[in-house]
Amino acid sequence: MSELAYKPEIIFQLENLLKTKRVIVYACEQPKYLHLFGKELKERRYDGVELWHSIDRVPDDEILKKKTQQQVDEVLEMYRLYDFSDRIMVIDESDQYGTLFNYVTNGLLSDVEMVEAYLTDL
Amino acid sequence: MEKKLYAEMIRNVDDLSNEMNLASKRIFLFGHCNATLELADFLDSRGFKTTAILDNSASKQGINYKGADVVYPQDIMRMAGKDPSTDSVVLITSRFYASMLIQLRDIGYKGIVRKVIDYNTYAEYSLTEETILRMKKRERRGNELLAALSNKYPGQFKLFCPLNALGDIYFMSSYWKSFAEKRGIEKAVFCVTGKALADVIRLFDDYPVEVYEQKELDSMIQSAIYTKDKNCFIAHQDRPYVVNLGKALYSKKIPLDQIYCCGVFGLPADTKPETPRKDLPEYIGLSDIPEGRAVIFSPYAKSVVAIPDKVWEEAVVYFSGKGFKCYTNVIGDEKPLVGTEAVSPSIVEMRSVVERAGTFVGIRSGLCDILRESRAKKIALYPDYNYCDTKWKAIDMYHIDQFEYNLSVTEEIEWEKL
Repeated sequence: MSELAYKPEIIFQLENLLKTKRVIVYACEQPKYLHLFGKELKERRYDGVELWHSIDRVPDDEILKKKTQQQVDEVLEMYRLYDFSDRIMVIDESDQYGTLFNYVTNGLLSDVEMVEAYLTDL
Repeated sequence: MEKKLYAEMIRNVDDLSNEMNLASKRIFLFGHCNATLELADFLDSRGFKTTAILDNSASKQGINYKGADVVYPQDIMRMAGKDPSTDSVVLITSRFYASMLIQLRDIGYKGIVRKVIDYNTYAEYSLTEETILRMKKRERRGNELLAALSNKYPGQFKLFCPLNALGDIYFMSSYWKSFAEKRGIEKAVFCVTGKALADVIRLFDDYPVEVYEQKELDSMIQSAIYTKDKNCFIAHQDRPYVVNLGKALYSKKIPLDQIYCCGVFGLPADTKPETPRKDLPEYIGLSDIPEGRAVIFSPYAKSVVAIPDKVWEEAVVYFSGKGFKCYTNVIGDEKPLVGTEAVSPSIVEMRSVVERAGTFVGIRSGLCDILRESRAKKIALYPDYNYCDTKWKAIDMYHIDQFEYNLSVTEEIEWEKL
């Protein structure tokens, strides 16, 4: 387990950003759903949200923001330490608990419905 | 609401009442949920009137609870009196206290805003050095507890049940074997927050179970999340904060047992749940219960809105009139309904009592799940409330197919027709 530095630079940035925006961190390995999330957010015309990820060859725009793997890891490490803001959401496929991806796997939700569910209270 | 949390709520309200003349204030509660309604009931019992319940949800607007309408938070500015900062107070039971406070201040509300319960040890909406260090310390404590657990059960998988709720534990237990088979788990230890929960797990098998204080278990779960411990699983549908399954309910009705099967455990929708084992101990006073001519009432549930006394009174009168001996299932200082005798079987003995009696009438709670497979006439009464902040009613989410009757208590119950 890595020792978390008190407050990495990205956390300072995040703290400031969260005053005016919500941040979604896409932490899945597969890029498949990143595009769906980006598309859904753009269609809803959210200007108060940023979607952070570390996937290569996905261009930045007003919503999608590419971060380095280290930056994403540092944010996720803080997120796993405690629930530090209700304005951040992490999308992941953890083995440690149930996720909305399970509903897609067993047919209760479509891909789009799952994305919509994640974005419900934005 | 759990007793400890309820006691904390009472203490905080009494402290506030000692600080100011609460009776002279317009009282607003923020967040329409079960805990808020329990707070409203408590305030009412103390002679304090709730002016309104603030909620951002459009679907909640217009709901009235004991004279208090649900309104949008911005409505507080027209309802809080000539000088809101002195004429009113806002009380919050929700974990979203910090964001609710920010919203109220953004609206321009300058009155007192007080959190009356600290539900949630996982959340602190702050990134100060002091907060981060305190949370690191909490995680380390959790890690020590995890190490001790691993020493006691070397190599065993750890299953965490974060919430003190009988029904959730029942569903978790009923799908556990299928999940363990899917993951190739041979041995596991279950971690819960109360003996009754351990008993629910043991309805199914003699699994090893460890009981922790809530805050201890929370810190263990947090540490498991932080260290990405692969040898564990958190078996709950909305705790802790990393679990987002509840978001599906804003658009889709997924009953609670299906949430556990498909959402929590990721099993196919047609997975058959296990049922409790046959060889459960019997209640010691069983022979005193007239076989097939008794009714077991269960009117109390800590986390459910109460059903009006009148409903129970009429039920007791009806069944007594038909010659049934009536009992009330009670724990601790709960009182039996008038006209009934108290009976207090343990979780594992409960089935024997209900099967002996022949009839069970209970508020829809986790106890009803434990009795799903009991051979008796079973009637579940559902208070009229929505599941969390969704549009689904309790009866939609908690309906039990194995019960003969699932009745929403919105109109008079015609007992003679059942």
